[in-house]
Amino acid sequence: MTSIGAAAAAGEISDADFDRFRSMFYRKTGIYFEDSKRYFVDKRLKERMKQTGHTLFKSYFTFMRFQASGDELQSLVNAMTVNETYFFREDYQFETMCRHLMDELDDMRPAGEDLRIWSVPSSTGEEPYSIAIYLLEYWKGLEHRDVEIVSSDIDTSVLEHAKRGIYSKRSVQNIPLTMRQRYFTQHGNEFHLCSDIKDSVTLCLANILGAEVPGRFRSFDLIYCRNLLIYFDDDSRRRAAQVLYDALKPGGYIFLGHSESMSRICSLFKVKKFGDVIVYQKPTNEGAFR
Amino acid sequence: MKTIMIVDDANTVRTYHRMIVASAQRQVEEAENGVEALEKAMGKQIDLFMVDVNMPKMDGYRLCQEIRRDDALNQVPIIMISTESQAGDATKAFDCGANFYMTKPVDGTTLNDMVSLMLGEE
Amino acid sequence: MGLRKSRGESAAQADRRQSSRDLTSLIDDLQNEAADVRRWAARDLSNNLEARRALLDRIDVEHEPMVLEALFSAIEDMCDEEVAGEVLIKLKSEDAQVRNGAIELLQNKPVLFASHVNELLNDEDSDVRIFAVDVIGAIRHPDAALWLHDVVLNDKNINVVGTAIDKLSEIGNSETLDVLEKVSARFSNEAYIQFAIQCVRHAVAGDEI
Repeated sequence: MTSIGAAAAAGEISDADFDRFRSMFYRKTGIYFEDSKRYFVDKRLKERMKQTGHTLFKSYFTFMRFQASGDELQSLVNAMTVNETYFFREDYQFETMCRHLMDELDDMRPAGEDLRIWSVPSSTGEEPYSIAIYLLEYWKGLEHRDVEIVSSDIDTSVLEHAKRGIYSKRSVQNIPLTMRQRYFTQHGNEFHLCSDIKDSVTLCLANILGAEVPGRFRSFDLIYCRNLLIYFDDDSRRRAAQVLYDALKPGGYIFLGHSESMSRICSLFKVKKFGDVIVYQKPTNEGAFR
Repeated sequence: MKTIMIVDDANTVRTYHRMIVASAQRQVEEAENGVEALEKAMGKQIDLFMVDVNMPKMDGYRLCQEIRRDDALNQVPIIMISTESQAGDATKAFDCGANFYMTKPVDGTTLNDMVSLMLGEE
Repeated sequence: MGLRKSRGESAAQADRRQSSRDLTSLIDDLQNEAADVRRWAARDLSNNLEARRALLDRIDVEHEPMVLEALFSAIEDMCDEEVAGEVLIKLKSEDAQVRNGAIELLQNKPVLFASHVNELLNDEDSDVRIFAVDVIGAIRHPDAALWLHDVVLNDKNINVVGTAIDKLSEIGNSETLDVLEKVSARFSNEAYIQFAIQCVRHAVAGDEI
């Protein structure tokens, strides 16, 4: 009691507080924080406490759990999941694509048919362009199979950025030097993506929950939908999963972000594992879109 | 070391069943529904499933069927634990591939004996 | 061969499906033997008031999970008092997927659910009462803890009470601890209930220190 009281008085977060928060956050979002993330979690919790005018964790936690709108929980999700986008982020998924999925899809589809990839959200373009670079560098199947990459976002300003294809040093730092020299030209602190890569990605404006999307975005073989669903509430997440399901051809795959799982959203996909990498597959025993 | 996967959407039920069955020779994995159970079981050695019936996303009956269809899991024994006690529920559980059926709340000794039997413990 | 050049916005294709998308054809398609045709019919009938009856009827005979998900999504945005009444009946379905669809739909309609909560919590089928408790645990409603207190104090079925106690570990408040004292006495010989109450005390008391 003394230690908890002392911690509370200092506006600190006790071990028990952390456990309670971790357990609640996991139930609500499916995101679990290991003990090693304690500093990261505490820092963001304290920022939210400050923003919302709570000096004690107890009162903040109660406020957040019982707020009818759920806005504070959403702000917390945003704070806990904020991630800068950059080239080759979570590159183990691109590796899995090139080592396993593309060959399997290539075998599955008739000769002459394009393989189609949808990257959503495009954000400022790092993800779809990383997919293009990875395929050119690591997938030999491009010698006999065309691949179309479509990428969409709800935000016109990030789409404009993506179309310009100009990036900071920080954004391209994970790309090996030889590849960076092959696909970018450096102008001072800026890295300009070459037009061949820019031209290989179709960028378009779309809201994944918009009424027109199920009709327009379809017949994809592979979808990247990383770190998007965590920003939705349960209902929107379920609706988005339906859209993604309908957008895939039978046998097609979907990648989610590393902290996301379909298991709390939708039971229609079959889970597959390649090493430690989890991918969700639309079952093959169903007919195509008509 | 044997691994038991407890599948139930109620946190307190999972914790209670874990307390009953965990031992120095048994480790426990938990999942909140059938989909999560299949995801967590992938690539792991699971020796026994303890499965609730009514769960969101994928219920226990469907999970049993999926386990029996899965090449890596189809030999793993399943204990189904249900709140339902009408005649016919047990039959449905067995039809779906369960090896044993119990109703909630479980008796700790009975559950533990059954787990020992299923795991082939001395 | 290689990466296709961008086709501009046209890559997101125009809707060019082969089958007709008018109301009558789509309602017919709900009976089609191909599951994907039934799913697309349900998707395209979403929010179409004239198709509401056909969608609700199809839920009762549909067994394909992918079609059932689409059927429930389709009626969600036109779920008024009349539809809610039918959804409540589906909580008694033999098919777990139908029950889950109904539960998820009610979770997204807290106001409609609230107007039926007493009826559900007094249903003679203990499983229906458990499903109602599941919904209460998932919705953000100011009376949620109050409803659960009522369940744990009055329901005679141990599994209904157990489920309600489990939910109180997440949404319990300062009154919960006093309520649980009485529940503990009601089920003094039931090991699971005693254990669950301990879990809630830990979770709720932590808030109150």
